[in-house]
Amino acid sequence: MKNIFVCIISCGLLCISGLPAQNVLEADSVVQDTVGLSPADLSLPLDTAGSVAVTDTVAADVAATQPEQLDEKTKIYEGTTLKLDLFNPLYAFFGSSGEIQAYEALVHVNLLNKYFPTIEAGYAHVSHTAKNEAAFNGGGVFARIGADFNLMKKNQDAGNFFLGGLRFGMAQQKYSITDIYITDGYWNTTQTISFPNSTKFDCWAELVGGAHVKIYKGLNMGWSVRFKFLITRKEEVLHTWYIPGYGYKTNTTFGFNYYIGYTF
Amino acid sequence: MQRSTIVLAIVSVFFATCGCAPDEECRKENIIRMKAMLYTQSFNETKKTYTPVEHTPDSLSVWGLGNDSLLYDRAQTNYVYLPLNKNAASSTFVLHYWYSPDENTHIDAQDTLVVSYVNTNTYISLECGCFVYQTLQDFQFTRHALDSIEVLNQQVNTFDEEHIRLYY
Repeated sequence: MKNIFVCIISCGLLCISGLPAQNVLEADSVVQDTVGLSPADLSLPLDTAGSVAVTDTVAADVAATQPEQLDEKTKIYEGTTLKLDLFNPLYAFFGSSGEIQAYEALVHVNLLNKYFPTIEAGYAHVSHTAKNEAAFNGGGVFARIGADFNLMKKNQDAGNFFLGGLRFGMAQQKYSITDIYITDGYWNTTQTISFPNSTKFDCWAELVGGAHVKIYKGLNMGWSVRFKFLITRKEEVLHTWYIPGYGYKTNTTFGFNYYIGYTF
Repeated sequence: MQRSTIVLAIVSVFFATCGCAPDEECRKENIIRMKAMLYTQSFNETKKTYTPVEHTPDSLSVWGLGNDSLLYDRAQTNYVYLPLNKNAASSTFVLHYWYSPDENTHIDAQDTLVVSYVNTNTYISLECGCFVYQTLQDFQFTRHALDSIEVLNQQVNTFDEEHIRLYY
């Protein structure tokens, strides 16, 4: 009875995973393989003629002789991974003189070692002064939602993946542009104007590629490179210089992340 | 596999760090000035009408009132670009002409032109700052040599267009 119960659960999981046809065939083949065994070996009921009554119950019982193998094949949920980005904080410190500070993390769920629904979130703050002394100060939160797909066909169970995926990103920020000098070279006059307290929402799409490598037990690391397309391209009067989670405001841009994470 | 991973990572970092920084220089055309063409009125005997004819004085000097820097110094031209003060609502120019309508007449005249306008500060980008576009409102001028002014285009921006005509 225990084996039957396990088999029913397994079949249920198979149905959920969307692969029922293939696995029903596997169960049938198991039955066919075991028909040659003696009824005593299988502890199966005999009819009056002494032949094996191959019923559904028998099929389920026989299939349950390999429960672990079937269970591995049918496991949908493979874990949840939390990753922290190290690249942007380090780049802020070493690469951009601290004018851009960005922090982000992601959570992805591993389904069948193939599909990785992903949610990313973070915060970025920018304080930049241009050569002409105009200053942009802004900060806000961002989020991305999407999924990665394991591009490796072999060794999918090893915890190492090449990933490709898509994201939809959005950001809300408050910003101000100050110290804009309007200088008239001929008349030798200057005035300074500022645009304080503006708010902007932006969204974009991303193509993502990267790697995920298992280091030790649940600990892992990885990287991703992103090609981003800004969707909110309409040129408003006071447009932003930087978009949290996207980068410098251009129609397309690249991004990079280096992650360290833990899989639960 | 390992080598390709490393190469991919290096290329990714390159794009992420080098390929995305915005240009710090303003590459947009930012010359905004009013263009004035010089004309005379020529009387057509057959049609009995005046038609404008481009006028090039023998020499022309132009400067902003209160400014020592000459915009044109005894130039032989039939148009002048007049930079309107971005930080004021009016600009005053002095135009000094030398020309000879005929062999016996030599004109040495100086007119003062006051241009009133409305400035519009338009934010372009952090690198470019604001461009100041002007909408022409009013003209006041002396009539020593200058006869009249015709406004063709009130909007002064980065386009090189004829905005006013100065008739002599």
